[in-house]
Amino acid sequence: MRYYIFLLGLLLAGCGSDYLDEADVFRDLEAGTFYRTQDDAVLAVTAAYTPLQYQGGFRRYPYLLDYMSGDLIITSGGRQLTAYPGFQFNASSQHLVPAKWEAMYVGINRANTVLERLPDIEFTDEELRTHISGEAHFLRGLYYFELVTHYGGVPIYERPFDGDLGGELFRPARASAEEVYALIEADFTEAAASLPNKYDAANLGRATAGAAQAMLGRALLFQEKYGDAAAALRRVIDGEFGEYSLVSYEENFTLDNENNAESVFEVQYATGIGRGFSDGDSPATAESNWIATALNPGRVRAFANGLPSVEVDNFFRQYPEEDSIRRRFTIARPGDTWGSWDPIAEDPIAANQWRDRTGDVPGAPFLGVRKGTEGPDPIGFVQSPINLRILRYAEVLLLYAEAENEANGPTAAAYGAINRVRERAGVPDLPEGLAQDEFFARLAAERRLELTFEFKRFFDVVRWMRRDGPVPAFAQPSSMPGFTENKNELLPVPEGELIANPNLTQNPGY
Amino acid sequence: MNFPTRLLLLFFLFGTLGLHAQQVNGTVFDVDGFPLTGATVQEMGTTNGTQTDLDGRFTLNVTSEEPVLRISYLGYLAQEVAVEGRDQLQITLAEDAETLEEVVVIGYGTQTKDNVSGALSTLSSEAIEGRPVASFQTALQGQVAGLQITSNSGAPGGASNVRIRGTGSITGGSSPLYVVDGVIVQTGVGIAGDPFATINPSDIATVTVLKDASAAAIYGARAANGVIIITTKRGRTGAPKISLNTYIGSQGVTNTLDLLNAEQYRQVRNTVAENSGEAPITNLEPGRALPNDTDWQDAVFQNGLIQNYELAASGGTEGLSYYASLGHYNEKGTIIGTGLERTTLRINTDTRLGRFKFGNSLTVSRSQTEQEYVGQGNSILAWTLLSPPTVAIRDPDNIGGFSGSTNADGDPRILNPVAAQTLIEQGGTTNRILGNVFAEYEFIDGLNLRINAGVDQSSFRNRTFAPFFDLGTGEAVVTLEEGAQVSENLGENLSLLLENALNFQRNVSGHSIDLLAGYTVQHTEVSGVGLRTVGQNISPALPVISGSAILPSPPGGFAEEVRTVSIIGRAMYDYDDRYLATVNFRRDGSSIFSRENYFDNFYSGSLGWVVSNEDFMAGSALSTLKLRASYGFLGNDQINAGATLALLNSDARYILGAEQGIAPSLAPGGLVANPNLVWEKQQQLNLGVDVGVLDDRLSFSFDYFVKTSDDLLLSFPLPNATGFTNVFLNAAEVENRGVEMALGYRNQIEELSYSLNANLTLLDNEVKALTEGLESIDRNSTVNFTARNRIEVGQSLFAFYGYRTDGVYQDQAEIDAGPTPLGGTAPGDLRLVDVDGDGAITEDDRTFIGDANQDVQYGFGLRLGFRQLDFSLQFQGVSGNQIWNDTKYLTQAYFRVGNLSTDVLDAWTPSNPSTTQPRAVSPNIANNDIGSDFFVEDGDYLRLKNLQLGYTLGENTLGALPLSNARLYLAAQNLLTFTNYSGYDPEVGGGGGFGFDNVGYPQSRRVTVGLHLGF
Repeated sequence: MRYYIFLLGLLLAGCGSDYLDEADVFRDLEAGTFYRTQDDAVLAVTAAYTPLQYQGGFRRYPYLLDYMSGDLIITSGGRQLTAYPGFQFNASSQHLVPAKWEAMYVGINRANTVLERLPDIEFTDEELRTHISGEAHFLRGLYYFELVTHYGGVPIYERPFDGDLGGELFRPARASAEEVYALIEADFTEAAASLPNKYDAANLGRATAGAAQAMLGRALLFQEKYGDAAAALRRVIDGEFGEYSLVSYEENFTLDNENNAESVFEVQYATGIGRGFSDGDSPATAESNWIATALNPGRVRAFANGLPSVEVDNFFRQYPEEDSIRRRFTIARPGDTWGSWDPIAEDPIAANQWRDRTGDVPGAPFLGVRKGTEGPDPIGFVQSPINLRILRYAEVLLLYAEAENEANGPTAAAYGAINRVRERAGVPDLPEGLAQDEFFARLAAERRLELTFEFKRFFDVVRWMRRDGPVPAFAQPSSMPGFTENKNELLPVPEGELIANPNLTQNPGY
Repeated sequence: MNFPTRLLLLFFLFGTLGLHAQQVNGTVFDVDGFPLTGATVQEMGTTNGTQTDLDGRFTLNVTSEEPVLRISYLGYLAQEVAVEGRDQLQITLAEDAETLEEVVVIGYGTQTKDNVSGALSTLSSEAIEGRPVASFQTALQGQVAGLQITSNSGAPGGASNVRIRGTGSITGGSSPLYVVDGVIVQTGVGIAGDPFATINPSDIATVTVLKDASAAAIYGARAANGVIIITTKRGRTGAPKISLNTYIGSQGVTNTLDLLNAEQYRQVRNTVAENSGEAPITNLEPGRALPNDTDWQDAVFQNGLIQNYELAASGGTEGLSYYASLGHYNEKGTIIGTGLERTTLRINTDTRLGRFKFGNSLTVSRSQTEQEYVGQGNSILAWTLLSPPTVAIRDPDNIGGFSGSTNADGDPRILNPVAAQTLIEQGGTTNRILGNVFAEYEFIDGLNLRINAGVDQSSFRNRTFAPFFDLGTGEAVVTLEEGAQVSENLGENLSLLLENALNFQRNVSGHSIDLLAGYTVQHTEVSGVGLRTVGQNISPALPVISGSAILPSPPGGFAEEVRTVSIIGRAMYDYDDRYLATVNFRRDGSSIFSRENYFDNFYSGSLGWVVSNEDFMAGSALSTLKLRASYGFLGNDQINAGATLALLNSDARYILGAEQGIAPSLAPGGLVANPNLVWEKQQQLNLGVDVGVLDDRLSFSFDYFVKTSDDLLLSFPLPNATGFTNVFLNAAEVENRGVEMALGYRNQIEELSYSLNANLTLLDNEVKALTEGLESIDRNSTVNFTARNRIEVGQSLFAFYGYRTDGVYQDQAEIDAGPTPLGGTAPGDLRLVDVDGDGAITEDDRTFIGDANQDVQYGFGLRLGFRQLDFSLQFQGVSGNQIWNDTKYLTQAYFRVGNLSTDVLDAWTPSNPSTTQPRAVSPNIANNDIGSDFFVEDGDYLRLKNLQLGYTLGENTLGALPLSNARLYLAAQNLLTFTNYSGYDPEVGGGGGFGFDNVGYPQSRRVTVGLHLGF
């Protein structure tokens, strides 16, 4: 009889659910057991930054905006990207159109996850809880700002999608641009109140209160809320969120002196991690700046996908006083000295300095993008470590000057702000006594001189279409080849998204 | 008992003996005249007995007055022989009729073939033997109705795509369950390729394919895709046998493509440049000398040597039998730098002791592959097709010694395939232990308990090493921009299985029952790590992972367990071999699902009527007539193990801090967890009939089946705005419906024996339902094409989707006549069809343009035997399917500056009004590269899969040699192929989707000579 019991034991060994429960799957951590401690909260909010490094965030595609604005012309190196020069893209186009949408919403989901989980997480340092909440609000505000400026009103997610296909977050309709901006303003306001003015060395690069306040000012200006914008930006200039100052111009675009006194918010990059051609979050994903390689005219580890257009070069030629600093560090011309290219040859391809894609565009002069690229000695292939400054104090001053001028005319404060930028550039102050529209025209030029190849021009031209008053020709939509009014102010909603969510509507003209 | 009494007794006994004692000598043979060792010889009515020796001889002193001997031997009919005074007996035992009756292996048992009421097919080792292939699946191709085998790759050790009665899952696995000697084996083993490349096909004794719900249901939730049961060879009681089998031969490609030579290439490229408004490619400018005319295919293909050596021994006594074999297989591929080397060892034993049985199967193997280097998703053949004929292969001045396409050749980003296969090492090693130990105890006659413990353990190491080299292109080598690199993936797969089954068989006056109840537990574990280093110290002098890297990828690793518990039950009944019935039950639990959905129950049953055994059929011409019907439910647990979990992503790194270091983070993954997922289920109806006439010399069977797969897991694409990519739902239904027919005929005309066999499968695949709100799913997009498959209700799972074309625009007037074409369309471009009739070509004009489902699959063969000669032929074919031809895209779409098919010489020009070949123009200008039926072709083929010619020398001929037999044979695989398909090979499995010719490794033609010696 004894062995029957043994056999029965074998039969029942491990029977049932308990045995199955013990099957471990270690591929990654699981949401059900995470989000408990303040360390978990730090890991979770750090994840909300990473879409900044997506190709559709700030790693690669922003330069497509300068194909659109006409500042960049395309070479055969950019043959995958031919839909962007001349606004040839449509809803099914690849690259920027779908990638920006996707990257920003990944970031929004991560920020929302932090905000949803934060109240239930145990903190020993309550101040840290406030900071993390501020970071999540800042990033969500930044991502929605990118969305509203690229696509207009978009679906709003203020909490994470929970997988409920019957729920309202499955296929929400688009909110209006005003509703999106209302969320952006609330997020930046909350962030400015929660975030510290600065961080210790280990946390350098996280969002600061000043960044949130400056972004709030920019978001207000983009809505033509000039008085509010001026007031918000004034608080940054007045030092309420820490001291900012202007550093030497070129230091804003190099590996040296990253996160400097002029930097309000910058995307952090490093080289040596993962593979150059990568995107998203995988073990192989690089945390590097691709734009620096894509626009570098050199023949070593560079693509030369875009060249400064004759038009933007001619714009700078009207301001020969800019040659010593701003033009020189923006557009490389033969005769300039750039590292071991001393000087850049009259025919830099023949001289084996530049890649011969630079000659792909018949009739184009030899010009190269210098701002943000690494020139003769790049560090990695599609692996540049140079941080991308997406908001500099110089631009805060210009945003303020613009808002002040539009709200109150060319006041001394407006003059003071723009002249600080000009003084750093080594050019004379603006002449006194300009009328409001004249001041605006000078400001528009100033923005182009200061910010070319920082991918701001397309949005400037589009928002200035709404300006109540004259806009100089170089800042009118006609200056962007192929631009169609009442259509190209916004990108199309990606086709895949329209299919996945039938409640979405397409932007006009697409 | 005192001593005198004992003596008295002894005397009495002796006296009795003395009275009747007679010594009988004898020899026991089988019907073939071989002596039977260990046969029991017993004098009836006494306890007096003995066993035969190695030569089948026995000596017994009989005591009875009229002694009768009973000679018995396992598997043979016992015989009673009256001695009748003889002292020399020659006894021949006939095989037991019941044993003789064909027994088929079914799950957890066996069954006589005549009593099978489910749908299954069996093949013996004869179907596999002598074929010069690395895995048994390749050998099965075309031999079983309803079993669809398509090679994914002709690479040595390349995997096959195996489907039983079609594909019944969309995102889950559709591969059958494999059971080797009772062990459910893992199919995702180590090296990318065929898991069965680790098993020596010569060790296989039988292959049983369980097709319908009734036959497969004993494997319940694992069986929705059918089951393939393999048994390996075991020893038989009798004289030991030793055999040596060896073959050697060569393989080459079945086909090469006609590509442009240097001068043609220049001419076409210059036309493309002219039509595209581009300057001519520098090195192709008219008038320039063309120093090279390289045939890249010739440089990449080779004739690969195939060698195989096997030594096997088997034998046994009544209590112990064994089979052992050692095999070594070495194959060089048809592409340079590829190969497979495999060593296998097998030991199977069976021990019998009274009511106990004990046995084991064990195979240990080591397989090593050298593979093609795949960079940026391009196969070596894709690079081969792209390489311009005007570029040289070698340049001794470059590091590594190879040349490459430069800017002046049009595109510096084409990898020299010869350099890649020569300099880059890509390969894998898999060590595998697969085996089981079982014990059986018979409590009373017919009641057995069997405990089976199995293990399938494999460890693998896949490795890529690329040294630094330079192709002289002025840029880093494409796909290797970071320089020298080593990557390694190491891992282990482990599966442990414990099964307990109680079986009861009884036959009472014609009522035969066979009951089975059991419990099984399986634990599988997969774990691995991956490492990759890049750096200047990596070189042929140090081709391993080392700390010298300048660009390390973060290492990765994982460990995953799946646990399964099951309760099984089966009852088989037949009455008088006329009325058959089977019912099956299985309750399965799997840790893949969330706790609430761990368990599910699966039922099935079948009925059969052997009409030919009825009295009223006596004397009928029909020797067999059997009607079968089955119906049942099965499950599929081959789903994503993480589908019910909200896994976080730990690769979402950011950079922070003054030192700009990696900041770790954890982000929500792309998948939203769905805890409500349940098993994919399947219902299958099978109706069949088996007919035999002329004493079953002519046999025919027919099956009709409808297999409905329901609750299919679908990766539902979420709007990106959710921040997630997809969620798994139980949301689709697919039906596979078809008929299978098998026909066989065998006969003998004097010394000529011959047999013919043929099988045919008609298969229809249809998506019956998708989840509400989901009209279609697009999938299988590539860099070059948007989605090429669309899954839509009413269509096949494999339906191609794209534009339809209608010839070539001959002039502007034709274009102007409408519909409004896509931008850039000019005379000479493909005319796209305005399917929706809105007067313009838009995305909405895409439609279904083909179907990769093989509507008709068939095979037929012939065997002849004449004296010592044997000859066999086996054909295999498919029909009614289409292929999406990426080879055509690569060689006719002008999308890169690479070589082209000679078909483009007929491209449309104003003076060559081609209606099939569009003008030579860059796809940046025109749209001829758009996903259209221009790239879809019929995939029908008929192939002479195997041919063998053998000559056997018998014992008489061999004379003094210590051989019992010797066979010399010639075998050829894929000798002839009949097809209109224009790519390398119409047999495309395709990674990711079915029916895509991804310019993969083509099938080879193999010719070998072999020698089989029996000692």
